[in-house]
Amino acid sequence: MTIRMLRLISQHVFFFILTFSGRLGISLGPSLPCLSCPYVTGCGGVCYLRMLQSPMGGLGMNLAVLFTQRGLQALAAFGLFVVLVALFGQSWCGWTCPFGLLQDYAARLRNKLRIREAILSDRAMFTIKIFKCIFFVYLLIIPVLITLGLAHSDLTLPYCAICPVKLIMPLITGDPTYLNLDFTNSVLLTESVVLIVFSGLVLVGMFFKTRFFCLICPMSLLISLFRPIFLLRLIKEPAACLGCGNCRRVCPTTIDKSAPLSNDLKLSTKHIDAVRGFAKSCQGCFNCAQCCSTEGSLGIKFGPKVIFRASRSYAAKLLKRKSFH
Amino acid sequence: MPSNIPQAPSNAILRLQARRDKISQLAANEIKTKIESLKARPDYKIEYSYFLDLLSAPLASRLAAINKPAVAFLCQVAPLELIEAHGLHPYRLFGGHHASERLSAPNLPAVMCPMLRSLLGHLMTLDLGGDDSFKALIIPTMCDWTVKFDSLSNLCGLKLPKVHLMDPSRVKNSPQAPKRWLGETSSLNKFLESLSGRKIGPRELSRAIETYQEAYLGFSQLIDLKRKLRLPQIWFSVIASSFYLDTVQNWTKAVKGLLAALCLKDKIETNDGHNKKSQNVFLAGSPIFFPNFKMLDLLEEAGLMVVIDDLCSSERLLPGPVFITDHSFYGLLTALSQRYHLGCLCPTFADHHHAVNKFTNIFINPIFKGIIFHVLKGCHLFDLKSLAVEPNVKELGIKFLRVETDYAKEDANTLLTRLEAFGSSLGVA
Repeated sequence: MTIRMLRLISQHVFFFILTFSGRLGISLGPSLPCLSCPYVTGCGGVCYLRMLQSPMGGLGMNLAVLFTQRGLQALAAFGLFVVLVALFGQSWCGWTCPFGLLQDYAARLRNKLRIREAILSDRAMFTIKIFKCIFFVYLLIIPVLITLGLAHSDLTLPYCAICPVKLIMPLITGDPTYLNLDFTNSVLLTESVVLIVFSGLVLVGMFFKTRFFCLICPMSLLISLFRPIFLLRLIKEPAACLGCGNCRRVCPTTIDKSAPLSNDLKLSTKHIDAVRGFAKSCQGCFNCAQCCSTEGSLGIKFGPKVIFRASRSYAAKLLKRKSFH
Repeated sequence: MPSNIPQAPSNAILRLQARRDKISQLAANEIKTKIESLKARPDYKIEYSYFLDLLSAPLASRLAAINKPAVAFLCQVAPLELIEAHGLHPYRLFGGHHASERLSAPNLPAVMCPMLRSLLGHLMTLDLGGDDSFKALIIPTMCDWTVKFDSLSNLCGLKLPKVHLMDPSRVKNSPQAPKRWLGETSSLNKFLESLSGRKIGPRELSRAIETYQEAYLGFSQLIDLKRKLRLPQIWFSVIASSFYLDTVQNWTKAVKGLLAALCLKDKIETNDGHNKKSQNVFLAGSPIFFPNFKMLDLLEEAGLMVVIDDLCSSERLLPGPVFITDHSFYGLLTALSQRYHLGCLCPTFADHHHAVNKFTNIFINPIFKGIIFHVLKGCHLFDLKSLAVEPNVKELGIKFLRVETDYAKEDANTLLTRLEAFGSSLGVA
C-alpha cells in the first residue's frame, strides 16, 4: 500500500467520523487541529479555532475564571491541541481535515473536466496568504475586545461567523440552515452577507486552485506556529536533490522543495530540515516525498526515526498504480 | 537544344558517391562486427535479439517499418511525448560509427565533437535530400556544436529537412527559465501541428505521456537489475540505443519480455550489487552510442562493472517519472516541459550543483567505489563538468578517473592500462 492510498483512506475515514459520528455518540472533543465544523449537525469533533474564539477558552477569557474549573478545561483543551499538533504536525491538514477532502474532490472534478488550474504568481500567493494572518488576528482580538466592552457582543465567535466551512459543510450534509441572511441586527446581517460572499468565493477558488482555502485558513497558520515541536516532519537532503521539480508540481500549495538552499557547491552529508519544506502553507500530505525519484532526497521522519525515504523504485510504484495521473 | 537531356555526373560527384558507398560499407561492417561480438558473449540471451535486430537494420528501412512519419531530434530535452502525441515518431539522431567520421572530417573543424562528426558523416551516407527519412529536425541548442549544426550540415553538403531550434534557458535557477522553456515547448507544439496538420488536446497528450511512463517503468526495472549487477552495462546500452528504432509500445513489450527472462534467471542466480564490491563504478560524462562501445568494452576488460551511469545515452535516456496534478493541456505541457528541463543534468546549464549532487549523493554512494568520467575530445561541456565534480567526490573519499578519448581505436591500449591501474586502486584483483 502506498502512502497516497493510506492518506486517501485516512481522509475518508476522518471525513465520516468528523462529519457524522456524533450521531452515533462518538465525539473526539473540542481540540481538533482540523476544520471539523461544530455547525454540522452530528459532527464527531470540534475544530480548536472555536475554542480559541469563545469567551471560555481563548484570549477573551476573563482572568477571574482562569483558575476555575472552566479555566482548567480550557487549558486542558489547549494542552491536548498542542499534543495532537506535536504528534502529527501539519499532516492534520492533509490527512484528516474534512474540508480539505472536499477541496481535493473539487480539484479532481476540475481535472476530469480538463480545466486548467489557476496559476498564482508569487506575489499573488503572498497577498492571499496575508488574509490568513488577518483572519488569525481577527479571531484572537475580537474576543478580547468583547471582554473589554469595546466590541459588539454579537461578534462572539467572530471567525466562525464568516468561515465558509460553516456554510459549506452543513450544505454537504443536506442542511441549508446557514444559507440565509440574518436580519436581527446590522452586525449579524453583515456577518451573514460576508459568510455567503466569502463561501461563494472559496467555492470558486477551490475549483480553480487546488486547496485554495488552505492558503487562507487560520488553522493552518496556528498549526504552523508549533513547527519546532513537530514529531512527524519532512526531511530534505539538499546534497541529494537533482532539482527535477516533481515535488513542486505535486504540492497542493506549490512549495518548491527542490529550490537550492544555497548556490555554492558546498556539500552536506547531514540531514537537514528543509526550511522551505515547512512553509506555513504545507499540508503535510507528503506527496512531494513520494513523487521524488532521487534516492534519499526527501523523506519523512517521526521523532528521531526516518520512516520513509524517497527512491526511484517508490516513484515507479506510484507510476504503476497511475497515482497522480 | 532541349535542356532535359540527362547529363553525365562529373568525376567529382562520382568520386564522392564512391567514397560514400565505401564508408557506408565500412559503417555497416562496423555494426555487423559489433553485433556478432555481442552475440558471441556468454551472457547473450535470445531476448536481446530484438534489440540487436533493430540496431542492425538500415535506418531508412527501420523507420519505414514504424509506419509513422519520423521527426528527428538532437538532444534529450525535446519532449518525446509531445512528438508522439502528434502521431509522429521521435527519433534521436546520434553518431556512433567511427567509419562515418572519415566522410565528414575533411569538411569540418579538426577538433570537434566526434559524436556530431560521426553523425554528419552518417547523414551524408543516408543522402537526406533524396529520401524522406525525417519530416523535420528539432535541435535543442544545448552546446555550441548543436547551435551550429545547421551550418556544419551545409559544410558537409547536407540538405536538412525543416529545422526547428529550441533555446534551453541555460540558467535553470532563474525564475524566468521554466517559463521560457514552457514557451519553447509551446512553440514546438505549434511546429509539430504544422507538420502533422492537426491540433492535439489533453487526451492525446495524456495518452502519449502514459505510453512513455509505461516504457519508463520497464526501463527503471532494467536500472534496478543493473544496480544489482544482473544486467551488464553493455547490454543496457544496447537496449537504450535501440529505443528510437521502433514504436515505444513494441520496445516496452520487448523490455518486459527481457525482464521476465532475467528475473527467471534471478531465481537461480543471485548476485547483489549492493555489497560494496570493489569493481563497481559509476560511469559519467559524454554519451556513448552504438556501435562505438569502445569505452564499455575496455571497462569490462579491466574488470570494472558499471552499476550506475549518468549518460544521456543510457540511464538518462528517459527523463523519469512525470507526475501530473493539472490535467488540462496547459498543465500537461507544463509538467512535461519542467520534467525535461529542470530534471536535465546536462552540463550545459550554468547552475549545475544539482548535477554534482548525483555523484555525491550518499544514498547511492555505497554501491560504487569509483567514478570514471568519460570525456569525448572536443566536448568542452563535459570536460568542464569533470573539473567541477572531481574535487567534490574526492572530498568524500571516492576515487575518480577522467578519461579523454574519441572514436578511434588507437588509444585503446593506453586507456586499458589506465583503467586497470584505476581498478587496482579500487582493490580489483
